[in-house]
Amino acid sequence: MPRKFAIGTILSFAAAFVGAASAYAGDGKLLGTSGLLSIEGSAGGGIIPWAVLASYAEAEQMGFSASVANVNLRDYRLRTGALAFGVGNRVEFSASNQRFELPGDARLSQNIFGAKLRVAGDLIYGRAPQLAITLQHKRHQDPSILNALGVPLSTGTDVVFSAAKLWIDGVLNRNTLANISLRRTSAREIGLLGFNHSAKWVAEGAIAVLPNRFWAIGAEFRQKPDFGGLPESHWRDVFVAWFPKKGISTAVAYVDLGTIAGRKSQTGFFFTLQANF
Amino acid sequence: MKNLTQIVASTAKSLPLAIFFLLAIACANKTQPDLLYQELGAQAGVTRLADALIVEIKANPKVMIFFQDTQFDYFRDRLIEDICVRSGGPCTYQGLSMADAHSGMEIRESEFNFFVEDTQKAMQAIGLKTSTQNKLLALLALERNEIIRQ
Repeated sequence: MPRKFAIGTILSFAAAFVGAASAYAGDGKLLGTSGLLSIEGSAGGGIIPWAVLASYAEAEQMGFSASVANVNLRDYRLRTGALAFGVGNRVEFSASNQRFELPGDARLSQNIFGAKLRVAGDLIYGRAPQLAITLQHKRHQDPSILNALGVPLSTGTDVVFSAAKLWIDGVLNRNTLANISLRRTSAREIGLLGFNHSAKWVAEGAIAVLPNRFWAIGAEFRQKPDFGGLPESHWRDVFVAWFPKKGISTAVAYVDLGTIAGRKSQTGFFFTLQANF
Repeated sequence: MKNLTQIVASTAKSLPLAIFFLLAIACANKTQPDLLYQELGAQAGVTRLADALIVEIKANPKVMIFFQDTQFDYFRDRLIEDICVRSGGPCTYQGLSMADAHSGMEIRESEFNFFVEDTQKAMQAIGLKTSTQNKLLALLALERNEIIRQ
């Protein structure tokens, strides 16, 4: 299953580049406004989903996004592959695989199936922000590892309520985006270390400024829940994203994920490459 | 290297705060519309922009389909007036309302964006600053509801 998923992701990614080179169906949004696929597969920034929808599909269009991401930390490495399907700038479906490599040869892996609905508003036009609800169903590929560690559950579902707005003439007369979200989650370290029986509310936010329409610089914050046991740190990053054309986008971020499973100062760099078609 | 990491880390922590302050400053600093007309280069600049935009429209089949029956001389004059008026210039718009001008066209959200992209290319082509471009795009965005789905 993991191998199949990886091959599927690579094939889709290859297809994405071919698609990007030719005419693509989902091309109705303005450059950059579909964001990037986050590490959980939902469109957003890097470490959190935003109220934006994957692919460049506007009303009456469909589009795909595919991405690979790599987060290199002091003691860990997170590798993700994600696919998302956007319909009419209204609904997004996503599937992603996260591989979390621990010191030594240990590895944890989970799949995340996401669905996002734009409930109201538009990211750019009108006064109201774009409001979206995201579901992320997370499922570990090998629950026996978690069981051995004494973690209660190997699956869980997050619900995220997000609002995002892009001001065309914002900070320093540049396009400026802000996103705030509330998440109901039972996940420990976003699910990489399993799930709890009860859930908690956490807040997330992002802000970005576009020096011009091809570049975005910004920062993100992700509050993490405290379920007792191993303490979790809030996550933050600063990023630079590049949108040379609608077919391809990429981002680099400096991430500070604090303490993970007892190991302190998990800082490092995040890199993602995405194709849209 | 450790020093650099610390600097980046402390920047990461304070950047959101700094950006929020910038937002507050930007909101307090509302653009004067007559200033935009001057930024565009007054009548000569507005005319250059209209001409550049018509070049982009004619080169873009996805937008050109809406201009099949357009008398471009007439459209050019109205476009110059519209940009002039909206940027605070001393003109009078003598055309149809935006809603009437686009009536029956059933312009989709994607097609409105294609026109926005043509406008971006035109503004880039005549060398307008990004800040000036964004001021004008923000005004164009206000017209969207009277243009799409008419």
